[in-house]
Amino acid sequence: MIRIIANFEMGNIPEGLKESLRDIIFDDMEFSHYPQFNGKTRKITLISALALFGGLLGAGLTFLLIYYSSTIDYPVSHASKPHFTLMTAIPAAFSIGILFAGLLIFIAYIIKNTSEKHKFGDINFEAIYSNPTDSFLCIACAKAESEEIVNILKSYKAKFIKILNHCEPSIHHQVQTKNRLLKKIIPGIILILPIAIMALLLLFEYEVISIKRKEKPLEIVMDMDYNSKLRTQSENTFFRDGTIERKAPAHTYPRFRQSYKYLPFEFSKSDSNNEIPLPYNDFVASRGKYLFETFCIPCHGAKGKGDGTIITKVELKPDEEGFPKPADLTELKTRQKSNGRLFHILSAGQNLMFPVNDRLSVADRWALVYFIRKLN
Amino acid sequence: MPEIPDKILYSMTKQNSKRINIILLISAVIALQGLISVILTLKSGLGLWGINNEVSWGISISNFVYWIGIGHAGTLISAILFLFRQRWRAPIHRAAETMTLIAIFCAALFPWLHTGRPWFAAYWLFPYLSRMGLWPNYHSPLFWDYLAIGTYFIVSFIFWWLGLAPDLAIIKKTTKSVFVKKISSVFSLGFSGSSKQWASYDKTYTLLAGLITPLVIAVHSIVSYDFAVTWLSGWHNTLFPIYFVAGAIFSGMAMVVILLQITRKILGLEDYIKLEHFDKISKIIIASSLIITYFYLMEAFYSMFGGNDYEKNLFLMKIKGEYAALFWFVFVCNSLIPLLLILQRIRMSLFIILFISIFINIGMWIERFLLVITSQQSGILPSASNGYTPTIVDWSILAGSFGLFFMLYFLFIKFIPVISFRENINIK
Repeated sequence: MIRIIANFEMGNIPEGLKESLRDIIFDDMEFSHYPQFNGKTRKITLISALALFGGLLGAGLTFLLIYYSSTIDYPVSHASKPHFTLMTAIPAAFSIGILFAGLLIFIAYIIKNTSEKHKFGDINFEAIYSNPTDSFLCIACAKAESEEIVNILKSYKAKFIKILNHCEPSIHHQVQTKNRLLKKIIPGIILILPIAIMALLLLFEYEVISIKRKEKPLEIVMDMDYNSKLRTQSENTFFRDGTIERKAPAHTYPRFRQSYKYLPFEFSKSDSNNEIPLPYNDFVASRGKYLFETFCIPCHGAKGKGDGTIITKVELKPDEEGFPKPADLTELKTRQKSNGRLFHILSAGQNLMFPVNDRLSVADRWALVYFIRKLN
Repeated sequence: MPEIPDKILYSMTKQNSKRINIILLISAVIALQGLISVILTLKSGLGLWGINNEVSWGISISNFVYWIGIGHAGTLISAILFLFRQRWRAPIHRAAETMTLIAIFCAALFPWLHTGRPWFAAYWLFPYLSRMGLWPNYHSPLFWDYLAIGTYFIVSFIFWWLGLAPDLAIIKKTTKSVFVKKISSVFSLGFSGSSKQWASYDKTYTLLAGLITPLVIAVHSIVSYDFAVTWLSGWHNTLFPIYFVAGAIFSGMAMVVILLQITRKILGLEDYIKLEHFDKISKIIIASSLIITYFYLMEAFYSMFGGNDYEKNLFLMKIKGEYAALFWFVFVCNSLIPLLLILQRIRMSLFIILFISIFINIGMWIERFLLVITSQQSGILPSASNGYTPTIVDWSILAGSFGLFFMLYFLFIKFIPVISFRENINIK
């Protein structure tokens, strides 16, 4: 094995040189323009991949740190959205990304320079510093037929030809296979990463947009804009009866409220207390009106005709009858009922009507009776 | 080995050494008196400075903005012009990069001292894990500053070092001194000059240049956020980032002119640093001067027609009030005098370029001074208005920073090749 260095005083590689040398040369030839910078390489090399990796690593770590510290560890209220702080992490992430990229490629450069055994030793100093700017070098490992190579090189006007007797094929081929692997992986990373970043940004964007539309967004950070509370009268599978409305346990009654002594079907007994214990005055009248508007209107309607909004609220399926019409308080049937009977209905309930004795005091119920009488 | 001219390889000949030593002595004395002021400040507190409750950012902040700005021109020359393949940058880029490093160092001193208790600075700024949930304020541009300038310094230093490595390898080969040989072999990063090394070197160098390029724009933009993010009239302006960057390159290029003129005179490098370089730098100066003039006009426009009375009054106060003379002086220095460079005859005279550059640097410093002071002085409430006069300690620290700057620069000239061998060996 021999090693050959040749120097050409031309702007470009002579045409046909590579072809004529290909059969004899063991390795690929290295052509390089020196001492000019040749920053024209478009290949993704280890160093540029490391720069990308370092930049993303630095920026990502900074984002994570700021996310952790300002939305988890010590949530900074930024219009009640701690994760909005992340926007202010952009300058920091930018700086740290560049810092990491710079440091990483610098360290990689040093490791590469000091650890790798160089195939061509330290021969190029002379060539590099003694030739004009437009020259370039050809360095190659070859099989033993040196004279032939020298002749070919001379025919292409090579000026500085040096033949050395030792040349290790070394890791050149391994490096090439590694490079092939890198060639596949790195473009993949380069393609996927921006898409992932864009997706993340879109997620944030989606959250902001849907807050504007008052829909429930996909929340990355829960900040109690949308919580899983139970809404009144909604369905719930947690309890056996399927509703979230809880009843008082058996044999209990609310404090400061009297329990009603009769059951709903014992209405005949209630006729006995026909006299209203309250004296009628303006306050009782207005109180009755207020309570009627609070508790009765949804079913019985504003004028007691039994046309409250409850009928329209219930959606009907094709074959359903719908919500039965509440009683008309102005009709004869109601008028004929005694005061005590009305009080009984309020206290104990009737059919679908729920009793109000747990939420209205005795006096309030009598005030309601006055009001219903007035409607009559 | 090829012959490398002594002028480049050991620019410090005996004759030169004498001149350098004189300048070093003078600048060291100036730096020392600044050091005394710094020690006094640390001992007695910030009461020695002219700052008060209303004007809490004194000239130390304007010095900071000024020095950071000086740094940017070096990066522009070393990184951006490299990426644009401007080969004329070859003889001057090492000096410009060194200027960047030293200027960032000088700049960082000021906010550091301005904290009053510099030994707490890391505690305030570094985001370390704390059980108390104690973190830096990420919303604050001061925190962004800290990271941006730290990154800028470190990456610039790496870039500078990497550029130096092949030259150190040559010094290692040529020198006879054992000590120099050892040092240069350590700092040349194992550089031996094989073709593979050159290839990876080129890639690393180009990539680092690409990494520094956005920093030129980002760092001074972030410095400008210190002002633009606040609500003070006169500061709250969206034009600030680009104005700051242009101003930075403007004053920095002028400083490059000053340094290069001194360097080539002292080391006798007239063959390398030629009139051509000053001609090209002058063109960059004209461009950035025009951007700055545009900002001055836009500032007047926004203030007068922006519909904000406070802005309007502040601007009127600037052009007619206490600091009117300074304001117009700044306008002459930064907008009118650099326009002289449009004439080729003036660009041909080194002396006039130097003269203009000195004026630009004075003008830019005073401009930063006015920017920092006037907005803070005129609060919206009458009670929030207060005067500001820098004390002698303030001035002494400013002079000290200039002394430090020149001292470090000439120390560099004395021991390290100012001109990179690789790109300049064949120029002659």
